[in-house]
Amino acid sequence: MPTVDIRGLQKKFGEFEAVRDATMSIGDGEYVSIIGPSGCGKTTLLRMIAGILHQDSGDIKFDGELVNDKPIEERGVGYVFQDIALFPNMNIWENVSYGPRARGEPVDHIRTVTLEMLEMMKLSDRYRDPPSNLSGGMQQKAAVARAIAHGSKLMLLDEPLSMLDAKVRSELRFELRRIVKDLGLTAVHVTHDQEEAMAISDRIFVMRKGVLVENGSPSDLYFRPTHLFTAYFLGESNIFTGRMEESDEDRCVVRIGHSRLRAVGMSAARESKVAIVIRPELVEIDGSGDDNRIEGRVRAKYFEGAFVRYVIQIGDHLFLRVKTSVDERELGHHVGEQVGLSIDRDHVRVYEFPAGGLNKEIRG
Amino acid sequence: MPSIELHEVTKRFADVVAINNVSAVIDDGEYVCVLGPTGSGKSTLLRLISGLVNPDGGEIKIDGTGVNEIPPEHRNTALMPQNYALFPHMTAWENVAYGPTSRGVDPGEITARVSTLLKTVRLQDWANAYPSQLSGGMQQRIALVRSLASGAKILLLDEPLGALDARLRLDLRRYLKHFAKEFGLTVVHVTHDQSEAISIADRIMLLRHGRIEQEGTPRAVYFTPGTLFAASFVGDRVLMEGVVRAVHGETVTVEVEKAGEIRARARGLREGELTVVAVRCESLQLAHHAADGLNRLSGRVAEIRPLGSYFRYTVELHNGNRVYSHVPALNALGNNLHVGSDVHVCFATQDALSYKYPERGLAKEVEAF
Amino acid sequence: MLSTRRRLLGFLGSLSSIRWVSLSVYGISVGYFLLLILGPATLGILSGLGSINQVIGDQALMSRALSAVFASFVLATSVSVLDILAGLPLAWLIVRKKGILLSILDALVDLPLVIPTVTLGFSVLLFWSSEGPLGFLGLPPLAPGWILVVLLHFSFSYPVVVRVLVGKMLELNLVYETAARTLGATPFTAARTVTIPLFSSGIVASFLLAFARSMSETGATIMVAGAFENGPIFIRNALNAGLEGPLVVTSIALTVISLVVFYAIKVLEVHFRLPFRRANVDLEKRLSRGLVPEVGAIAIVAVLLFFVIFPALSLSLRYAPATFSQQISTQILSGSGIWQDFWSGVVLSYSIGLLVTGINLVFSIPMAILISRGRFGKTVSTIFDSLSSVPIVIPSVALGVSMVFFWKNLAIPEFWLIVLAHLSITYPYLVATLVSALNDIPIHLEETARTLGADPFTTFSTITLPLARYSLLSGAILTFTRSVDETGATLAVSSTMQTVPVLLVNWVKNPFPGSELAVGIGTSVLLLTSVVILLVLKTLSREKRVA
Repeated sequence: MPTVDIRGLQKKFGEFEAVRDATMSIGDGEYVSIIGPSGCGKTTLLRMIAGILHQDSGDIKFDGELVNDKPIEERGVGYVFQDIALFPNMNIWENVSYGPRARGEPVDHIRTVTLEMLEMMKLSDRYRDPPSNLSGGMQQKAAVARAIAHGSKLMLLDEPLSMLDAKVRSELRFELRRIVKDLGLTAVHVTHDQEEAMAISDRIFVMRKGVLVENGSPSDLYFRPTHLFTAYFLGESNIFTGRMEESDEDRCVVRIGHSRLRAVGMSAARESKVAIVIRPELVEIDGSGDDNRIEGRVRAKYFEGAFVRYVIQIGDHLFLRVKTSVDERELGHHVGEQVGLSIDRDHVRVYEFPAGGLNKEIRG
Repeated sequence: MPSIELHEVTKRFADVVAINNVSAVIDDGEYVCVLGPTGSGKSTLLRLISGLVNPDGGEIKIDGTGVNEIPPEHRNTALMPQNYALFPHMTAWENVAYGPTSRGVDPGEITARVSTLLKTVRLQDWANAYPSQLSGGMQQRIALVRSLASGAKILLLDEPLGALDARLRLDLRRYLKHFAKEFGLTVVHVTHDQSEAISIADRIMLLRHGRIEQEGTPRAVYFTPGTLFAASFVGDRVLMEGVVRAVHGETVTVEVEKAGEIRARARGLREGELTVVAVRCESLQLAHHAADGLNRLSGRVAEIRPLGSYFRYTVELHNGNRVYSHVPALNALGNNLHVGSDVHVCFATQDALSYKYPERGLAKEVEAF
Repeated sequence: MLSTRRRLLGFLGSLSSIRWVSLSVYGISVGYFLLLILGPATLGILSGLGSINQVIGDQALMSRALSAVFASFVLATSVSVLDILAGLPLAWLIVRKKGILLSILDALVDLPLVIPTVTLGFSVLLFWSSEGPLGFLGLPPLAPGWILVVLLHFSFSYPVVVRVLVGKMLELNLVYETAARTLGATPFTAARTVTIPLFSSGIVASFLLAFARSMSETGATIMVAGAFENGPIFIRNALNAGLEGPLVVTSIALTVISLVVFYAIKVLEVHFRLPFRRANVDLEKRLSRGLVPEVGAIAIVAVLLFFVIFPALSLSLRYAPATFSQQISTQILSGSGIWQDFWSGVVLSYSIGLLVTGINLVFSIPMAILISRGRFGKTVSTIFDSLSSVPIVIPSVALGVSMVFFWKNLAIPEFWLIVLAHLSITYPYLVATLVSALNDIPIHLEETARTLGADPFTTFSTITLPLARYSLLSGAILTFTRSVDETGATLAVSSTMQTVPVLLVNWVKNPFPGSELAVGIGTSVLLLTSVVILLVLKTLSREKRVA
């Protein structure tokens, strides 16, 4: 049951710093994901843990043992690739049994373990097929089976679902978590899809430009992000430029345009520029909360299936995006209608205004 | 006048029928999403309309004229493949100018057109950059104005957001629609992502095994899927198997094994038939006490996962089945349900859709992997 | 106002949109291939069937012919096997290891490829004679005979094999090997169970290429063979003796054997799989790291240097200084005596080369497009792909013989006969290069261009051509070089005209006072031009990687 300890990991490609001073600890049996935009270094980090890439400096320990100098085949990790990488010259059986065969395990053991894995992934009747005969989702399940059959307790997954159809993705993600939890494995899962990360992780690490920005449970990161980038990257956010009016550690009052809002606590000088984040789904239209009440006019309305998105004007050039659940019969509010909005003060979060400006901070 | 008309179009590749007797009409200025799983024939449909392949049967008309024999360069359509296919050996400017240059447009006119378009997408400073120097989002914009510059009025987009990060995908979704409307284009946008189709299409065509399974506005397809496949493909739904016990006009009473009876909307079902009832996850309300007039199934909360704007509650029903309820974040944060709570899963008859049990079995029919 | 050029291009463009126009362009290309390339190369020989009786009656002649063919087969097979065994490790080294040393090796491997084989033949002769290192070390020299032939064939086929293997290895997606490693396989196990099976097509392709080259090679073989007789040598002897029968029999036999080997191996490739039940972990671990691979690497490099590079270079080392001496260089440049023949040979060879390159380029482009883009379906593409490689399979001297028979009744002038023979022989290489270049250009680009309003011709000239430019150029250069180098078929087809390789072979086989020096200098001049061409090729390919 491996724990993973990473300290000060560094990797440069020429002048480009792919990973800077990465430090993280993963507990036994945890399902952890690393999220971030393309090119942020998450895959590089994963490959270093696997031994595929060698770090410039820093230490990696599995269960307290230093593995820096261990070659890939001796680290005992199961790796699932973005492009699946089932061996095209072998059928499913040969693929799944590859690990035990390559390590010279006894023949009966090879057979037992392979049968077990195929059974678990519901691929028992496809074992003779070449990989190309299976659908994308099934191929990836076979790849997962292969990684587990080899006997490792640590699973590293590199964007395992990004090549699959949206529908398959949304179903397979829960399967992945279930398998890992049922077998008591530890997993590190890299993805750029924050919805996926929220669905499967015990803990999420946010990475940006080679740096691990913050980590926490999905709930914590989503409702109480410590960094502005996390607030932007995870889910959707309204991000406003505003001014601090009353600052306190427990509670604040900020100002956006002409509207005053009660917010969570944050220390900042009066009248200093701040960034204010409000999640669209945490704004209630015609709600009963008392913390903040704002008037606005509906400017646009979009149907998005399970919910409806409104764009509501709350001031000159100030637009708030609001998400509400949909009801087939109730037509909701109309464009042009005046509405009253209510926002809980815990859902108005305040951050230090980034030095380089909002756009640069968020979009890099 | 309709922009694109397909009359009983069929296309075969070796012994695979990619498009099977498809008829459809797309009006001038409409934004249509062709939605379907991989292998349903969506890309083939685009290639047929663009003229890169010719149909084996049926006729295709563009702006009222039959185009079966007309090569791609003489049709009024521009195709944008998934990776944009920007010409790597040409600058952004040359890429955008390619269409009108090939069509023999006057050079002065070309210069004017290209610079205006580049300004529209705010890339005028990148005119001399090569595609490899542009980000994914920028490449997409260049590809879009390139199509526009060629004078095409019909834009065929093949998974235009597939190559982008999830975050960028959301941001740029709106942009495509806005772009099309601003220039009055007719768009056929192919995708496997139903949330994408629902949020931007004027009309959706659900494609499956080369056939149109259902066609309609996003609301229609979302709330009233015509088949079980459509119900499972669009939106997140819970599927419950059961037997029809009674039929009353538009509603049926279904007995779900060891879970009691529920009422659902149905068409054409008979008493005693096996059926599958589909309910949207967000229609499943969780409550300690059931309200009157609603269907009710009892169970216990097995898992709660926050997924962002909603929470997914896994409820294990007393009959052993699992159902998933999507509860909006605000409600979830405020309710006092936790793992182990006894709960009633309630939903309106209106929100339960009943379908005939598929011959091939449930798993095969909804193409569960 | 459109210039005439633009108007012409526009006209061609609009023509290409018309279905029957583009169909006829393909038709002409296919017709060219069938009537001028494939037909004469294969069918001509059949008209000479009558003279077989000459041989069948004569026991001695028959057995001599058959043993010559058998010798060719054994030679080609053993050299090709040696090539693969020694080539695979070297290709692996070049692709996987980094470092200055290996870039040098990489460049060195290319060297023998551009040296004309006649030059190579003479060079090998020199290297293993008493004037080379063997004599220097006091060891007995290797006289002309079968050993020398094996060494010669190894030295010119080895670089080809390594090049093809390196090319295929670079194309490999490394993810599979990485996946195997993460599953616990040692590098050696991963290589033998996953990587090598995945590029088995590369191994087969290079084996067949080496096999074909060995079967075809004539000029240099003659130089070093002594009394040894393989198919091409026997044919040449028969030609000199004016005997038609043996000619035909041997040609047909050589062709049949080659075709059988080719298609048998292609079939085997699909069905052949090395079983893998369990790895012997300890053994494979030892083979992966430490002493064994290090020693192996050194051994392989030694093989490369001593059996390929040094023999190939020995010539220039020996004769370069002589070439630049005052007296000799005035003689050479003034074209006095034998040097007149030499220069007319050079003019002949180069003009044929240019002509052949130009004609083949024009007619092979539509064929390459047909095969690569699959315009008429996958089956048609595969058929033409296989057919267009037939001239490689047929040993060049047999091809030449077949051509003579085919065109006999049409009284074609000797010059054009040589051109036709060279067209046949170089066509497959050009088509293969073009197809490979086209396959690298994603078809999406051309399709998008079409939907933007570009007709097929415009698409080709603005999108395909610029992107394939470098491959096109290197294909053309290789065609040119191959033509200049060609000996076998030229010998069969020419009676009075002498291209440079033919000339040099004759100088060796019919020595006169000072002929050794002459051959040495002649081959050095050829070497010089080849080095220039190699440099041009390298610059081009580097530019391609940058673009």
